[in-house]
Amino acid sequence: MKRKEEMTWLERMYLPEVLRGLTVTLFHFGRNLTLHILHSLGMARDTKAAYSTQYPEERKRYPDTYRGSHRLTLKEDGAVRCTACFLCATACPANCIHIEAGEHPDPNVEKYPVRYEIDTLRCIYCGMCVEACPCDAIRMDTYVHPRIWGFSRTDFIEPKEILMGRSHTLADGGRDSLMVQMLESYKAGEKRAMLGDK
Amino acid sequence: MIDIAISAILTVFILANIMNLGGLLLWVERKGSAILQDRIGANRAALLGKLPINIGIINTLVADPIKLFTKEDFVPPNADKFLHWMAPILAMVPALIAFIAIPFGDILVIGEREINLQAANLNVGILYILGMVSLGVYGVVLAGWASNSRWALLGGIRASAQMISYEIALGLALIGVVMTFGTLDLQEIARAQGHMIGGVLPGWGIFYQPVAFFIFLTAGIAESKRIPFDLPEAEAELISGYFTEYSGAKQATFMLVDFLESIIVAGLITTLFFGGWQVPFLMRDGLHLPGDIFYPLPSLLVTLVQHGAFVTKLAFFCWLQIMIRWTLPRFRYDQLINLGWKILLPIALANVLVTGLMILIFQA
Ligand code: SF4
Ligand code: SF4
Repeated sequence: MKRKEEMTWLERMYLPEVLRGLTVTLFHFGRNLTLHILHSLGMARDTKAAYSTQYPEERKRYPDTYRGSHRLTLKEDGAVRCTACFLCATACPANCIHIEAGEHPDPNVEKYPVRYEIDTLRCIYCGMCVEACPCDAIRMDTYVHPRIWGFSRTDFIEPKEILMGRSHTLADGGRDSLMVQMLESYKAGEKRAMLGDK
Repeated sequence: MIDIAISAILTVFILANIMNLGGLLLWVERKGSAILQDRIGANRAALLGKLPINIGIINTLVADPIKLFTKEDFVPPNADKFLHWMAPILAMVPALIAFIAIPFGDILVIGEREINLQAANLNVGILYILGMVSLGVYGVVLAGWASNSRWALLGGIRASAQMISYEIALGLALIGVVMTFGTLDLQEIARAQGHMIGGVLPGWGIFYQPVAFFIFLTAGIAESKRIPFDLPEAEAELISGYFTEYSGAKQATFMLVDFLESIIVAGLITTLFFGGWQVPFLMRDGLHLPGDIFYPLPSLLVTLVQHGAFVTKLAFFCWLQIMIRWTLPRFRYDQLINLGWKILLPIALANVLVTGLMILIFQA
């Protein structure tokens, strides 16, 4: 195959191109080093020397399309929207949704989930359940990542109350409220771990 | 008796400093690469809580070694245990003892005694260092062979092919230098660069042998197996090459050897092409400025300044190699061998020829 862009004679000499590359890196090195020194002296704070996010002190906001933890959406009266049709549990490739259906006291509503649990240790956060649901009863638009610590397996099984509670928190506190809650619980856990008590 | 004691002191001085410099280079490499890539780099470990400015030195010089030396020392099943254990030592020892032939200062006069600031005054210094650098390939090849892993073996084979190819260009580049100065003794070569060309330009080797300098720098980086010539290690293709199956302290040894080799290359470049410990206008008895101005200086001060100049030049070339490492992408294997045999070798040969002609013309 013939290359579309032939290298010029000068480029094939290696050395000029190496020097050109070195000037680029040296420019960045000099610029950033000067900026770092200025920053430590308290000057030129608003010119950045590094573009990386200093996780975990700084965090990027999750994007709008982020598939986070699940929530069960609510009707206007605050009752669960889910009709216990089992479509999500059938669609789930990880088999991690467990529903127990019950008859609703209101004769206009056929069924409702007496128990609705997601085992987040098995869940792969694929979003199939959200796709499958015919009544928009389960969503993943919570902008919070799944909880990654706990003291026993049961800590990771999310029952109906937690899933509905997320909807309440989001409605009250706005988009990032669940993430803020999560970070606070991390910090509390960190403190507990430092004090050495479980 | 006193001579032996002085030699021993000088040797210990060199070895201790070289090991420290190797560790420091690791820091320069990690933090320097972060700075030039618009990152922050290692800044997590700190003594006594958080310091206001964390330059990551505790991370690389304290936390990393502790981590490496307390890790499990893993030997793969069916590996040759003895060779697996020997290989890092075989790589380390030649790299360390090569330094004793590099002069780091002129003659220091203390009372009646004149001390030559070089641990071993070998009259075949260049050959000795080349020999030691070549011996280093045994450690690498044995590491690849003893690990009983195909990646390690491939890395070892690549390393031996690469080092043998580039040693030829390296040696031929040096022949030009040796012809110019007429000696193999590194201290004599450094001394011969003390004069001024036309009264302003220092008489350093690079002004006599510019081509040899570029060949030597290229081949030297290839010898120390660093990017862009790091095919024996090539993380993307060979995991980690010949030390894939090493962990803990042994792996740290291999990493240190890489830095030691680049320090040797920097030391040789300094001595052969940049006047070693020479400072322009500074002679053994004092400062000789143009126009016959002369300030006498005590021997100790002169020695200190000259040693400082040597260390500065050495540090600069170590840093330059790190910069090159973070600038260039890796060569492909055929490109590497082509560069060695088809480009560097002919240029080095032509350089020897031209040098010979020049010497003939100027002597006639
Ligand atoms: S996200 Fe996927 S794995 Fe998790 S509960 Fe929904 S369908 Fe199952
Ligand atoms: S969440 Fe949706 S799909 Fe799942 S049982 Fe309830 S209504 Fe059916």
